[in-house]
Amino acid sequence: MTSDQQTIDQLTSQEYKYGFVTDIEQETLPPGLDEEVVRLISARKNEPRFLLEWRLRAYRHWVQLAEQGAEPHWAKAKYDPIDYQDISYYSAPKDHPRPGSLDEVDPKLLETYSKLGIPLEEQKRLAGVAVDAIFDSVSVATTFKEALADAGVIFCPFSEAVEKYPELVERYLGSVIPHTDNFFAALNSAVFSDGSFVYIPKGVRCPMELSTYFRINAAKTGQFERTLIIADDDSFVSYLEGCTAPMRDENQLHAAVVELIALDNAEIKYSTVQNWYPGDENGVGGIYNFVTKRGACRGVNSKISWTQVETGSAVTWKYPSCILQGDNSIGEFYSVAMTNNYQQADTGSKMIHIGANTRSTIISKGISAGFGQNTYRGQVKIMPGAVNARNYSQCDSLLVGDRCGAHTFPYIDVRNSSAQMEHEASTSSIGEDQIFYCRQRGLAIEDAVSLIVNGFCKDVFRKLPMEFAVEAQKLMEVSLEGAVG
Amino acid sequence: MTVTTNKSSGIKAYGRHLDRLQKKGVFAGQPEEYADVRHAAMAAFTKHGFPHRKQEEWRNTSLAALQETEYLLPEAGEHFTGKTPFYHWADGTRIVIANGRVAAGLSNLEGLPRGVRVESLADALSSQPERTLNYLSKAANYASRPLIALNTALWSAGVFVEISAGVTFTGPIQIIYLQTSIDQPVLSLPRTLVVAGENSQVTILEQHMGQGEATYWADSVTEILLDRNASMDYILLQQETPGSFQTHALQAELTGDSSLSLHTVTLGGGLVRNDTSVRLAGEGAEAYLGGLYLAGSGAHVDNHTKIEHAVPNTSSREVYKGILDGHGHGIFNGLVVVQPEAQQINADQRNNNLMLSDDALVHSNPQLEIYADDVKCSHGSTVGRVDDESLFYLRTRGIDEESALRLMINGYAGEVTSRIGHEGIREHLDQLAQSWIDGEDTASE
Repeated sequence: MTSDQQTIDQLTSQEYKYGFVTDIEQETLPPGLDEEVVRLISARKNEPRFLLEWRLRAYRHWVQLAEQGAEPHWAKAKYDPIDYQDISYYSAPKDHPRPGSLDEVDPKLLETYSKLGIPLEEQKRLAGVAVDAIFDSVSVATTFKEALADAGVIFCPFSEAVEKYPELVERYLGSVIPHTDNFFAALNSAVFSDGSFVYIPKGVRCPMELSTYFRINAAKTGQFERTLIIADDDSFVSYLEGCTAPMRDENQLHAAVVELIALDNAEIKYSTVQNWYPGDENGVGGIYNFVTKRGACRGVNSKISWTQVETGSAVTWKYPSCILQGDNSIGEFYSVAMTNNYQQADTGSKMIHIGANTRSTIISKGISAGFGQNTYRGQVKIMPGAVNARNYSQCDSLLVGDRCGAHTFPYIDVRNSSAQMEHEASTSSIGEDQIFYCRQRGLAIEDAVSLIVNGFCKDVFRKLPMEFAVEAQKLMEVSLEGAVG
Repeated sequence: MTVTTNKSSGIKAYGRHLDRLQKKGVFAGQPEEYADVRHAAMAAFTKHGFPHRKQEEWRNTSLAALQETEYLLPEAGEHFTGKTPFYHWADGTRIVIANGRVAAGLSNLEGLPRGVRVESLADALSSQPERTLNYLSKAANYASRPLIALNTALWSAGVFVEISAGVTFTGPIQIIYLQTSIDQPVLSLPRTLVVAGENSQVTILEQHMGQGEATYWADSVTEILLDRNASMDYILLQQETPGSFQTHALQAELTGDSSLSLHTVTLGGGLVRNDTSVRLAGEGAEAYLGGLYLAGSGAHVDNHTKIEHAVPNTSSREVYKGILDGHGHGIFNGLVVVQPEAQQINADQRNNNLMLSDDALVHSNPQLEIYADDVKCSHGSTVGRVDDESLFYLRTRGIDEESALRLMINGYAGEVTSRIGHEGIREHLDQLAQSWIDGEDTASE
């Protein structure tokens, strides 16, 4: 046991490797939020009138919610109250306006992204992934623009989309997640600074995977990005999202909104590897990750698939959902959530079946180690019109160590007798017999645990695009290090 | 604003009931100590008021209709003189509370073996206060539960069953709460206390039924305490009238190596809300919770269960099955909690719902809250209709569609009743379920 304990201690003591700070000149608004700040952000981005008004509506709604004390606290997580006046709502590397090519990008920024292992530079063309990189509040670089433009795909920073394609933005922004949706969505709608915008035209299969990397750098800032993806009729896109942040003793707020819209026969595959700074081993610092993600399968035969690997953040509050409006549409959610040390994750999915013959699958794997608290919370709702709807949910939890917690809270509402709904969940520790078997075969204990955990997560990992799957496996190993006991 | 005033005045009205009953001497002879408990409970009820839908535990069940009605609380209801309206065993042990008072004529407490006591709870509280207070309100904590608080403050008729150490009695003991039709809506407050001594074994059938058009609100509390190595088969049968509200809190506390097999069968009622809570507080304790709820048009059946594994080496299994027809609503909310030090736990929880109508509604929320690592816990939930393929199989064997359907529904419901040890009760419940299914079938055609 002692040697096991040592291995665990070694493993746990592994550092968060993305915790560096880039020393770059930044323009940051002083902390505080009022209508002026909202106007200032909007002005800084030369936004059209409709967007400013939308932001202001959202801001006023948020103020109302704040006064009513409507900040959601129902998640199974404990954290200190957030002082919204102590956060800076806009921070950008100086040297703007937006660079025309990567040569104009501050080399320090490029260095940051290369430290993160992100193929920003065009010479890494072989990687075949188009990247939009968001540094604090603004997008700093987008690659492969030409190749994408040839296919007719629009992939650009949100602020650029607002300038160039205002009619698309106006039509779809907030159509899946209105500014009144919830407290954090309202806040995001008021102060969002940048994000990615994707439009796949009719009949186009996006020639490469699109990827966005989010990086929080500045202290005392919040990050509020907004992603909007529209897949028009008969199109397909696979989108990857990654994120990291420096190590700081304070908690930083990340409140993003992601809206997906799939029209007739379109498919969107959205993959996330979330690796925000989780705080240190005593639970000091880390990101509060309060994200609203929702996709609408508007068209017939459309499909939206969410895959997420959640290893970072001090507190996670995130429920990627699918509204299955179109007949025969499909929603999928594959998730691995890992909590170690004092991390807390309350995550899951919502599947709302409206159209006939709609199908959804939820596969959720939660791993708790250290003092981590991991909660699956999800909803499957089958409305009266969803004839022959089908749902299958499976939520498994793995406990590593006796001080952590694993919780499962599914909500199942069915209003149609032709629907078939199945939910299964299990919670267990890694069996002594499993470890024993592996050790018998000559595996070290940490390798055995890693093997078992990977097997546990396999259903989800194999849904990830190749590069992400490798990264996810490594991340799990790092995150679990020191947890074995 | 007016609504709020009405509600709070309603809550105060219940407070006045306590003063009135005390002045009338309804609680005469009961120990001073318990009068304090009643006042404290009433204070808790007044403080919290009625549960409402903003509370997570009550999000699918609204008591608004219940609060709009003014319920009478008779000091003692009318004597019941009718025939025995319920199923019973000729020489079987039974105690009947009809319209809020013990109906001696309907009860049969003859020839009980030594060590088996079945008596009026109010009488026991007056004549043997110390013995009764040893157990009463020990499992049912009213501080944060307004409906338990209301019952604790106001109950006047109840049943106390005590099985001494080492005694086996699987008779069964039948406890019947009967409400007959009167002109005005009545609040009835059934209170049951069951104590099983060390190494004892007992079968108990607690039955709640309403007659005819009776409209009432039964706010019931059942407390069950099991001593070491005691074994109990407990059947709760609810046959309320369509115009009734039933809120039933059942709290069981299990010590080491004891075993409780609890079966909740709901066959009727307007709004039924069961809060069933089992605490496994001694190593080796095990609990089985079976549930069968049949809800047709106008019925809203909400089962909330909580199984708490407080110590290591305890196990629980739960199977709740619902059949929903017409506009029936079925809600299942099952929580399994494993406390930090409780290692070596096995817990399994199932909820299945069979929907016979498109207008029915199911909310199923099986929940796990686990703080220990050496556990094997699982839950599953399904909602669907009768499997077409199985139906087809039966039809290929020459069975007509209606019979095939009935066969399948019976088989489905039978899984719950088949775990009941007492053959007579099992058969009786099967028959009741059968006639419910037949009745519903014709109603929906």
